[in-house]
Amino acid sequence: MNWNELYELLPVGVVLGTALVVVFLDLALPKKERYVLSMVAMGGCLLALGALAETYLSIAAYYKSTPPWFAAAGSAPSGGFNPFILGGAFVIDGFGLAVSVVALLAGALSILSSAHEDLDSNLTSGEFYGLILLGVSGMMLLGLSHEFLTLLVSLEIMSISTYILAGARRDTPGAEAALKYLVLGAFSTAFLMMGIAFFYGATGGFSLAPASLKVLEQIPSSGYLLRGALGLLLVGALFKVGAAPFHFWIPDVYQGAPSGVTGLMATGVKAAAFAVLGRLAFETFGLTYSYDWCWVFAAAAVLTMAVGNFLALKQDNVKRMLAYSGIAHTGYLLLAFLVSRNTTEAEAAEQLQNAAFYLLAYGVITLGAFGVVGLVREDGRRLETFDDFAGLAKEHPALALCMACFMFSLAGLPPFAGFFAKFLVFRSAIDAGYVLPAVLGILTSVASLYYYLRVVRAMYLDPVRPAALGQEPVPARCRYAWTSNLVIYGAGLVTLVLGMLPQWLTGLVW
Amino acid sequence: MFYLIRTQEAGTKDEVHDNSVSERARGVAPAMEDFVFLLAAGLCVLSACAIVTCKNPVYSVILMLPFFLGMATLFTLLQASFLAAMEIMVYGGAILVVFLFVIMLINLRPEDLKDDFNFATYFTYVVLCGLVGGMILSFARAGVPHDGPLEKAFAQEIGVLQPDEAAPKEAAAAEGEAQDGASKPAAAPAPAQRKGRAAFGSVGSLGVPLFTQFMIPFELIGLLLTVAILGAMVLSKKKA
Amino acid sequence: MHGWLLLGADELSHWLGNLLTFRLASCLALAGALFAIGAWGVLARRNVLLVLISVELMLNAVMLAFVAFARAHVNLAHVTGRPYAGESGQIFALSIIALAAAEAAVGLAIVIAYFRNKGSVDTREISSMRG
Repeated sequence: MNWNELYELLPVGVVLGTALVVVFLDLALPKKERYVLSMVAMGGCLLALGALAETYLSIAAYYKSTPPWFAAAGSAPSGGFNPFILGGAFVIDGFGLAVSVVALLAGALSILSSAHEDLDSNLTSGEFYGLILLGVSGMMLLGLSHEFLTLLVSLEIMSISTYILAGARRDTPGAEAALKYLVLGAFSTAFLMMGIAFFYGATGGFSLAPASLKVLEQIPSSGYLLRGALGLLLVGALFKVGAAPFHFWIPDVYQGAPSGVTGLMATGVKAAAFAVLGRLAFETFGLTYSYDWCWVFAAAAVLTMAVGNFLALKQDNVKRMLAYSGIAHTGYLLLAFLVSRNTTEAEAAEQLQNAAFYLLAYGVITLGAFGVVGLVREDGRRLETFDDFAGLAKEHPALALCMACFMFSLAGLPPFAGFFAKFLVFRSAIDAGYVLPAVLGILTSVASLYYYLRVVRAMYLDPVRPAALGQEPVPARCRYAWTSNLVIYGAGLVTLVLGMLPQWLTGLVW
Repeated sequence: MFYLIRTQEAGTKDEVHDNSVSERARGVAPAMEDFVFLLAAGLCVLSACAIVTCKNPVYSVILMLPFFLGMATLFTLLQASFLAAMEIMVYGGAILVVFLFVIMLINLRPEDLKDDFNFATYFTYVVLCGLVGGMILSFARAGVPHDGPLEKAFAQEIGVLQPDEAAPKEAAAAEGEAQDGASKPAAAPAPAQRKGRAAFGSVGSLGVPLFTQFMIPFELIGLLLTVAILGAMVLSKKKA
Repeated sequence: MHGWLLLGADELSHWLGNLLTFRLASCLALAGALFAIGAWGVLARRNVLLVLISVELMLNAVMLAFVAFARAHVNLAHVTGRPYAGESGQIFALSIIALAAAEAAVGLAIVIAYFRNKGSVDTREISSMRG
């Protein structure tokens, strides 16, 4: 093992180092200067983004062009660079780096949108930021891991830190969310582990490289073991992304967790879980065996879109509505995983790039939306129902405008990022010959306009909250927090820019 | 429809059922192995059933002890002596005690233990989980045909050599290979291949790969334990 | 031919005889059975502590599968061409012990936090949120 290769993992190292610094800095700082912690954590994330860019540029230099989406498929790099670093434990390729970017952005934004919480609460402590950073490092490692043992351990680092973060506020909904998340997360991890056991039984190793399946030539009966492995792994991974038969934990967990953490779970954790799905389906099993996995994705996508959108229609709580909308978006994302017999490697890579764009756009929008939900509160009581949002536009026009942007974007209306993301995904599904799922996706996104526009209607058209039983009408109030405002306005801007100039990002990266 | 399975069926069309135990190159005492396996497996299944059906969690935790003992016996049978020791030490010694400790800590009242027995619900889950177990079982049985390479390799005696007795056997093995090198192909690896390694499943045989090939995941587990420590702090700190 | 749905009496006794001997397939069958029992405990029981114990049962089943495969693969390294083909399975099982310990520690901390808030360890009482 060449330890110099650890240098390629510098972004993860920066995040881990920042986590340690933040945890110990908390001990040295007086309580009223705790805001420094969030700044340090944020700075660490930005530094890690810089390190990620450095890694990207350095490996791009080896390839003399953009690095391949999957290192196994691309042309061999020059200069003795081996993308499979540390004895094949990790791989440095476009897919892993894209997942790392989404994870880092999710971590940075959720740190910023938690910074306004009370100084006494757990949500501003060094341990909290440290756990967010550790979870982000787990997500980055998950995107880069190329072997089942590292994959599982990274997955556990990510999951266990999010279980804790969900319950970090130590109130009743938080404890319920953490408990539910833990039990169902551990349950799904057991399925994932059983799948890995079968994979090991078939191939004798843990490598995610497609070459592992060569064992079928020597031991043909391993086909059954591999098929069992694929099934169990997909069950575990679909649990983690929250696809339809296994979606039931999402609403409670998203609603009970603090808003910033919910944003992290809805974007970073989801992106990392999709990374597992993408690597398994597109790299390890690959297009040769697409008949074994594609129908699972098609069924899960159809079911997830239908269930998520249908249940979102009847929600009264904005956070819960966003959770169900997250399920629906998982369904749209799964459409990007549908391939046909004729799909080439390049087209498959492009489909995953579409999925990555979707994850990035959806992540920014969702983090912004949860940022707004985290801000709207009154005398310490969190206001989360549609009624609580009534008349927000009169009080906070800028915030309401951003929230409207996010809602239009989630619904997939044209000038926003969500439209372009959905367009790419639906087009790739239709190209692969899955017209019916794509049509269902379009129909359900039209239906989803109803519940997204309910938020906009409440903010702009409804009068300020009606007085309940003789009380004075009380407008929804927001805490002033420039960190959260930064997240929200930044996300709003990115939503607009990505929607109008998507080729700016797509041209930059691939 | 399913590519993975099609490749498999082409390969095993002429498979014959052959149950003769004598054909399997077994360990020292096959009958004894079977007997101990059945005993340990029965213990595991019975105690597992008891664990999940017990009304009082204290009984469940106590019943985990025979379960772990049965597991450790199975691990020993499967040549995983270090894991057997770890099973007893970590599971039996640490995890079980933590569970017991928490049960004592939260001090359940009898009315907390009531579990309104709902036959329909329980039966639904029995069917569901039976389906899951049956799927695992059928994929395992189809993937491990009983004269396939996996099963043969399983029944084969593991070529373990202690360093001091390595030399004569190695010479004999090399001689044997020289004589019928072609007629004894890959199916029977010479024990000499594992020369100089510690006995399979011992601390030594696991330690070397753990600190070379699996160094990175091993370090990552340290990170995971850091997360757990931080988490315990966050969750159990007193409310300010 | 693997006639699963069409098991005749002959095949059934044959299969049962195989299951009752110490083979890879019977170890995997045991692992599958323990996995299913654990899954039943997670889904059907209400007491959170029992649910966590059931998860431990499932993880033990996974470990058993790994160790059983490891015993086969230690003799198959010449076919699969893997370094440490057998040891890697046992190392994975060892890692599962560590993961289970971390998960149990955090899980029990969450159970205590839940108990402090609710005064109960009943999963069906996770119902303050609905919809």
